[in-house]
Amino acid sequence: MQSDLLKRPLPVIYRWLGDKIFLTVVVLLGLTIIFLALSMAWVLYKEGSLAIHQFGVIGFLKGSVWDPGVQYVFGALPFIFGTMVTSIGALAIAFFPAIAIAIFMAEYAPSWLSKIIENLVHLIAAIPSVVVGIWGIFVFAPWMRETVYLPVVNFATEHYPSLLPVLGSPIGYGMTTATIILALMIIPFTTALTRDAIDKVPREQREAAWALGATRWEVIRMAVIPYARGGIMAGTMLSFGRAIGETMAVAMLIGNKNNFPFSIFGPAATMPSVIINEFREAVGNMHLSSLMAIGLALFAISLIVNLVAAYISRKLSITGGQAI
Amino acid sequence: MIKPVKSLKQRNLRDRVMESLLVFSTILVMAPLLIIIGYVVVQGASAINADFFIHELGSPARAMQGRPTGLVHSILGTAVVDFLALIIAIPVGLGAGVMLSEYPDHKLNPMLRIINDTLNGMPAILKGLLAFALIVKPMGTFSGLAGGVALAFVMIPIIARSTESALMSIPWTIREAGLAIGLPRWRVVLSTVMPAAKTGLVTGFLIAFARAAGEAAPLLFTSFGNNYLPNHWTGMIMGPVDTLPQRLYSLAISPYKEWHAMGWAAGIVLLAFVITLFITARMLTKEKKY
Amino acid sequence: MEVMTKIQSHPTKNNLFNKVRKAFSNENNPPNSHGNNNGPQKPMADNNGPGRIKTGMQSAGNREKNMEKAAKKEGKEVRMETKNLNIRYGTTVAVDNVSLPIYNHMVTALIGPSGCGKTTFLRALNRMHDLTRDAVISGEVLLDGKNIYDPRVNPVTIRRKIGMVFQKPTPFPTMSIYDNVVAGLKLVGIKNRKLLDEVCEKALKQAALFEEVKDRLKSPGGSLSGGQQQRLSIARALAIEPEVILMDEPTSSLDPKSTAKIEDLIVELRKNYSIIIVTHNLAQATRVSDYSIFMYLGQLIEYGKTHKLFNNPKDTRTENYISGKFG
Repeated sequence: MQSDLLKRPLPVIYRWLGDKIFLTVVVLLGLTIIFLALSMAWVLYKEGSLAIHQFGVIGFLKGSVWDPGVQYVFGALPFIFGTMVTSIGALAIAFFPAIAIAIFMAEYAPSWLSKIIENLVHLIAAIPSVVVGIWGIFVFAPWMRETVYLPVVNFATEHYPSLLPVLGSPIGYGMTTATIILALMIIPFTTALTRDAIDKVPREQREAAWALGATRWEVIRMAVIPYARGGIMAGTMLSFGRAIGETMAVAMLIGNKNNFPFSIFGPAATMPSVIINEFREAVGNMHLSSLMAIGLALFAISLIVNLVAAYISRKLSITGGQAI
Repeated sequence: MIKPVKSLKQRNLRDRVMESLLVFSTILVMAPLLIIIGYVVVQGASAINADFFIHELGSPARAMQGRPTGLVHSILGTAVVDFLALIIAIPVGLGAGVMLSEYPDHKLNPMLRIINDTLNGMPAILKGLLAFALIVKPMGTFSGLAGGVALAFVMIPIIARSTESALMSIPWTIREAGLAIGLPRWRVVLSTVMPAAKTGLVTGFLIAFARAAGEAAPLLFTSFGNNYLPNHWTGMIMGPVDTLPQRLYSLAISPYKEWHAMGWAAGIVLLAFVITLFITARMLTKEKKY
Repeated sequence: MEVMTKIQSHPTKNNLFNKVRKAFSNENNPPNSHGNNNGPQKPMADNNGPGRIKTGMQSAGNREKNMEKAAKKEGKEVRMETKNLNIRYGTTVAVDNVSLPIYNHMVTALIGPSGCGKTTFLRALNRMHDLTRDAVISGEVLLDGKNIYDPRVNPVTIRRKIGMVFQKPTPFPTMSIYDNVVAGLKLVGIKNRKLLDEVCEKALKQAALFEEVKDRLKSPGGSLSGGQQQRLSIARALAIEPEVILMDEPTSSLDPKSTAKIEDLIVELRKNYSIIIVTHNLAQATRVSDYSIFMYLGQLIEYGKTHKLFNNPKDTRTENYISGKFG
């Protein structure tokens, strides 16, 4: 009986067919992802082609008028500008605090505190964008108006009236509010990525600095930050990508003004915010197509940012110290 | 002995100053973020009641006249759309993860890895536009299915990455042991490697789920939103359907006070849901590690 | 005086631990003395001669006296000393009541099978355990008669007096060769270019690396070969002019040629520094060291002049180890 079983040839699925099928299925699923990414570019291009042909690539990107009502002219410049200013501003605000938290967690805090902070950071990173947005609308924006914008504008009215157009109307919903909220939202992300980079610094590097008689801060300056800088910069770049694509909270807080001039406190718009606000109501083909074209521009910028991040982390990651 | 220029006192002082700066910025940043959570919990808890879970929203008039309204349709819709997204995303993400980790020499892998990471970094709103063009346009209507597909696009790259790292954490010797007793590769992967990596895989699903469950941007022009429950359950999939994040956005930007309160209530439910998912995921990882 | 360093506080456990230790040391009956017939008051037998120490058979106090006596005869001064040094991780005792002197301008080798506590012991000598949060240390480590675990002593100053070279070469990869060497000086604010140049050249020459790198001092430290990187690490340790240098298996990751260079270097450095080296390689211990310490399971088994310890071991465990029966 048993010898019979042993003599019987294995079913074909156990010999070669099974592996072949399995590999094919797995590769097809992998290809789905590649297909998705390519189709995203293709779809955005196809849907946006109407606008791109009408205004030309450069013309669309440089066009500073967005008028779906009367002139039916669409230019993306205000939104590109709004996205860049809010994202760069948010990154500038977030960069040092985010890294400070990561360093404090990794190097200074006792392990119980470090664990608490780490869990909090992950928890906060999980807060949905709309939830931050509702807080921004009902709590943060009014608070900013009362405690910052109004006093500053009142001061300017009395002393430097020429500054008023630059400051803009202090309604609370505007570029500064959106930038600060954006900074708050990317900090946990930047912190987590920085922490990962710091954790990759080998213990030997730290010990080498300790053994030279360095204080804690000197160890961080001498061994930790230089070693982790590639990871930190790549993480910062990814956070920048996050800021560019962040949609809901910004759309809820930026005030949604589609045309220049933008002012410091006053309303503005970003690429994602204009898509969210107008896509559902857009009726004309040209309007829809222009929104898709903005999506394509957003795609291109995100692609560049992500590829640069990948490049940085590969280029600056350190192998030298561990040559053997 | 070379004489030091900076005394030890100076250097220690610098160390202390830097430490205080770090503590200061940690507090400075954590405080507002905790305040956000606190506000949502306090405001949401005062706005939430039993009606919230058993009635549908209806027109603004309904809320203003004080008739009972709630978001039961959004909660059900979220469940349907998220579930659809998971069903679509898990096979694709899992397959790609298996390809990355079990066939490390495959020619396509370097490209797949870069594209997957890039896709992960793409704004969710673009995934919504893609689902709009692929599903909504051909179908001619906004639908829960389109919303599910859009959220699946958010989940797929996350699941692929987490699957890869979960499978990679299983030592190669386990695979070699399986191959050595004559099992074919697919059996080794399916019945040894994947069961061993079970916790890691599930954690990845949960994290992807939590990320997608909080997204509103891709849903606004795919599942669109709906103030009422569809007449038939198929309407959840084939027609426009409400979801919590998208409804929260609509409520918050609406001009009605009653709806603002309901927005806070939606906020606490959504936050509780997402945070529960995250805490479960983190507890699972801890279990695995220690 | 007994100073406790509590990195992780387990007050009750610690006290208990200490009491037990005290009980042992008061009775002059450390756990490693098997069938100790020599009472504490009994004077040392004369036939023990200089350097011939029956550590396994003697109490800590006698052993010390004896070593000091032997040292005086040879004109050696004690640079460092440990007194009843205990180190444990949680409940695992890694170093068990070790008391010994380290002599000036000598190379002392720490040998023993892996896991015997020799690296743990070495790292206690410049307070590197302050960094890992789970090591508990009691007892004293004296440098020139002063306890480095005194709470008033800043570990940073200790580490500048007692340099360390690690198992793996650890140049800072983003710094140039030059910056690596003078890193320790820049820490204390020295910016005088001329002085830095001098020190860099001197340290690199001492580490026998100068000729190989003098034309590319600005290239990154990571661009050197493994052996060169290790000599760079040594040069970096020498640049701050320490008094004692600790080396933790400095050649274990190097090829034979680089190993030979570093061994020559150690013999050369002994003129100016006291060196303590942990090594797995017994041949290396005989080549470079003047004194050898054999540790086993956290205990000090035998300590004496290297050639005597290797040619004429007093303890059977030492004999077994150096004849290759275990380890």
